[in-house]
Amino acid sequence: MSHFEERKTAINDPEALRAAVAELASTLDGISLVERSEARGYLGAKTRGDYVIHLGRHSPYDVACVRQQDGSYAMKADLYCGHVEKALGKNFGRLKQLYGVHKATMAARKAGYIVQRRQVDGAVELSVRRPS
Amino acid sequence: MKPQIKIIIDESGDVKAEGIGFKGASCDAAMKFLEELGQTTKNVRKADYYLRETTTKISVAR
Repeated sequence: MSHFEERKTAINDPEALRAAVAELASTLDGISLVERSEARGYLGAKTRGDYVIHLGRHSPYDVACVRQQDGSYAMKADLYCGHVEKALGKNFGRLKQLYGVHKATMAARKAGYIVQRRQVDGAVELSVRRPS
Repeated sequence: MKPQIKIIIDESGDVKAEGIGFKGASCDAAMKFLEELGQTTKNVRKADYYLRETTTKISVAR
């Protein structure tokens, strides 16, 4: 071992976000990512997002992804009653995890690596190496 | 062992990455692609990081 590091995932790549939402949709049917849309909030309130994760029948509220000055996207949602948390995990954790998986995989492949993925309890492990 | 990078993404989306089998600063270059994920919160260099790859020429007199 020569080096290890820890990172806080910042959502800044719509392509990886789209891949994460597509994977979520394989277990939560009807979830989708729509560009320049409106997220449903409490009592019919709506908020606009550069991207919106529509949660369909899994939640009466959606998630608006709002682009920040630094290029990252902030997540805005009505967290009332835990509907959004149930679909996407605490603090959008399940979404962030899948985003991280797809973003790391895309970045590694772009750098010429091959990537193997496996589930380890609740975490996802990627093994990244040069082709032999 | 062939150099590889293990990346663990936990349930909150935080990332831990470990370079395995690299010598010296080649590890930094190999893991540079991870910068696209977000800011580093912790970075630890292990003993192998400080090893250098060297080539030694030996001439044998006959």
